[in-house]
Amino acid sequence: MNSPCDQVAELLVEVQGALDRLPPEARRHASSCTVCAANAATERRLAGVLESVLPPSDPALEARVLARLQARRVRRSLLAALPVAASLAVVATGAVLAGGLPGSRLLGQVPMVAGHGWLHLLGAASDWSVALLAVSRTIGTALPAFMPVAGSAVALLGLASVVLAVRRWRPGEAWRRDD
Amino acid sequence: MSRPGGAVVRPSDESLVALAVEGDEIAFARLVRRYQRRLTAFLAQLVGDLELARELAQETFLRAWSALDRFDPRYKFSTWLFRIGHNLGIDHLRRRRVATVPLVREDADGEEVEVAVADVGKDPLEHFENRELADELRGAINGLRSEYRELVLLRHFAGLSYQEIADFKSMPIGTVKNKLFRAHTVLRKALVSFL
Repeated sequence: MNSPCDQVAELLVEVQGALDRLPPEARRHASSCTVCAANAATERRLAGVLESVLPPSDPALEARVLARLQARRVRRSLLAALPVAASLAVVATGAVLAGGLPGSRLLGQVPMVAGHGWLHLLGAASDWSVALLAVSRTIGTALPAFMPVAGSAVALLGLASVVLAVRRWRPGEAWRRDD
Repeated sequence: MSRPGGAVVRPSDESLVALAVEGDEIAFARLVRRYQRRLTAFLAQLVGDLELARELAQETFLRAWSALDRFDPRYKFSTWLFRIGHNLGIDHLRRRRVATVPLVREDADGEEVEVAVADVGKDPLEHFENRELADELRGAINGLRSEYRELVLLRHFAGLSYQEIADFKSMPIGTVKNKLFRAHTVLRKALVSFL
């Protein structure tokens, strides 16, 4: 490719036939050369044909992408809360092993308990805590004496995990990552 | 976004990417709007199926979103996005290899080229009103040697510059220029009655 026309031809492909985008020297040649001018016109038409076959914009695609991002955000938020939930479970386990969770006695000391129907739910929770207390007492009699100490250690470990998990919980990052 | 004088300012890819990295979905949606047409066109020509290309484009954007914090801002977002799409399209073609019919034919230079013609799917040029031109164009693009065809797709459908294509393909820019020139020569011969 040595002649000026050949050199301009390669440049015309790059600028898609737009003479004003050619380097000055090539533009000077093309403006006085009928072959290059015709070549430029053909390149412009070819670029037009190739541009015209782009499919129409699909607005639904953007909506679908955003919907998927939203669903993913919810899922990731829930997943990000898992370490906190697991740590709380460890705390509860440790508390049970160490001697039981606060039971109905504590609830009974709350002045508003009597006469409030909405506290039925808390009552049910209280029943559960009584059951847990019984389990922990049974464990306490059946297992060696160091179990409450071990239970306390587990509870403290769980508590530390809760603090760590909450401090590390950065939802904005967690829900965006895919893996 | 507009200036006090009323002129509309088009936010750069870089600024939108920076916002998206912080979790701004609206900024990312603008990038989706900006590139979805070219990405779909590029993928449609790559896999030979417009509907499939739309699905792959959607998946490309989702993957890009997931990987945004690994995006190197020294490179252009468009190059990175089309690379993700290209890899997805190639993976799909590999999986679907059994469903394609490899053909060997001669190109305009008289050299043998292998053409993989998808035997299923929706025509990527089905929206194009000029059916005769669409048929010629499809034949012309499919008839290009694969190395030329890919560069034509990157240039005219993905809208990448020569430098971006050189980065994308890890080849010297002189090679890109030369191959695109040859590709255009073939396309012009094939489409001579429409130009």
